Amino acid sequence: MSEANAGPIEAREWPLELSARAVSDADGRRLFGYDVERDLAHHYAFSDTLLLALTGELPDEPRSRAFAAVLTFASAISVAEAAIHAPVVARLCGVRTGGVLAIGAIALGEQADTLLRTIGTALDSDVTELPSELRAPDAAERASVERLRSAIGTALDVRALTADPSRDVAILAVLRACGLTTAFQLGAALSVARLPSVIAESVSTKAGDFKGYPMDTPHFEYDGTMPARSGAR
Amino acid sequence: MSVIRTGVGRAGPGDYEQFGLSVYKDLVGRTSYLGLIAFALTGRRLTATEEDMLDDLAASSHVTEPRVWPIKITWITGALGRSVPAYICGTIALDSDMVGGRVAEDAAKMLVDLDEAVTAAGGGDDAVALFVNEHRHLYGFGVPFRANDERLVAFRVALEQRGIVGGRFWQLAQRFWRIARDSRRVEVNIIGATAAICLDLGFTPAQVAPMAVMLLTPTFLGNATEAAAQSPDVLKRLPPEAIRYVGPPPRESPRALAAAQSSKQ
Repeated sequence: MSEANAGPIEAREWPLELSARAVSDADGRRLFGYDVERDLAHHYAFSDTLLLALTGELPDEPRSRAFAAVLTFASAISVAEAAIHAPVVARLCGVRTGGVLAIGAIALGEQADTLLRTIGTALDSDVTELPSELRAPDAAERASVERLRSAIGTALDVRALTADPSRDVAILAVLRACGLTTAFQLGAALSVARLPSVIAESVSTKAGDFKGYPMDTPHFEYDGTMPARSGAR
Repeated sequence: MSVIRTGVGRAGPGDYEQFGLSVYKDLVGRTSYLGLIAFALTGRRLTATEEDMLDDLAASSHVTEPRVWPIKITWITGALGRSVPAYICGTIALDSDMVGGRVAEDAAKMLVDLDEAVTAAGGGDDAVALFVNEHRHLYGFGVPFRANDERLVAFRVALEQRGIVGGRFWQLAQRFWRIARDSRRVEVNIIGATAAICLDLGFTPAQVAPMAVMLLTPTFLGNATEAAAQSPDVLKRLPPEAIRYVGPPPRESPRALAAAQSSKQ
């Protein structure tokens, strides 16, 4: 290509190589330096590998236990939730694996973003008190948080769990105590934790079973006057 | 259980309704594609001139270059063989804090705020300058690697050729962009123009986001389809010489070290 015809991409120099920051397969398959086949697969659970992927470091024993427990705690959410309902409808429509998971992942990401926005900076420092909207709304949630506390063990100090958090806030507090601090890390962990519910409900859904799906739940009421429109052309 | 009220549509016997109009009687044969999208978003039917203006905006926004970052996603995923997943993957990148629909919405919100501020202050350029100084981040600006946005240049030419002077937001935006360029040395881009045009067409800022994405659709569809047709092996997996590992060096995990230690004892 002549210089006169060079576009803005040709007019600059660009790196020729893509940086691999986490995975190397030059010397065995390694994640952040750890051999996946000879080391991680023998000594660590998948949850540890996920925490390694999120932080670049393997967890110590208290964090390993807490992270595995909190992932399981967060894993079951109902098909009533939009993030599970949407991929189920996608499966109903015959969408393939990648599409179903993508729809679930996007919706789970949206759900996590909303939760993180709601919590804001409330968990940023050592928490002893939470605003009322972040506290457990009833005894059932309080009991659920107590079960989470029991599951993660006593070796990891999660101060926010003593501040009467709601279940979602408690889950995020444990994730933070495991070393996740950024919105991307927290949102990714929460989404991956909840993905089993997407898979479980979708894999049990029969593609094409439209008659079995409650099409008018909830009921949609059409109102042709909303919003105000300009006259027809 | 609460009921959802919707104006966006319903299926009737042999026809569909949208915002009080019949799809087959009122829209088919009477609405352009972008006019239909605008109607579906806002419930407002555009005039023929307004539809032409959106067509010009779409053509001006048509970035055909496959290497531009969000578009390259369509190539990388299209390499796996199917165009629609590639198109969807690429357009997901338009829901970003840096490019596409969300930025267009932010730019539109900023223009609405500017309009209120300038109106309250009597309408002079001083109020625009104050607004520019008071806002650390200006949305709809930034033209990487070029002096100005050739897409906006082309769109302005198209407007001139049609004799369109633009509405209230477009006029306000001209002053905003000029003052921001002079005082902050930032250049407006096509997303800023999209925000101004859509506001003049009656879009809310939230409605501007999907319209901005739709204007970019031809770019993504074309690239996704060619990528899927070619399925280039080199994008399915980049060759080793194109990858540089910069992560931690090989290391043994604490548990592996402990196991090795214990087996020695």
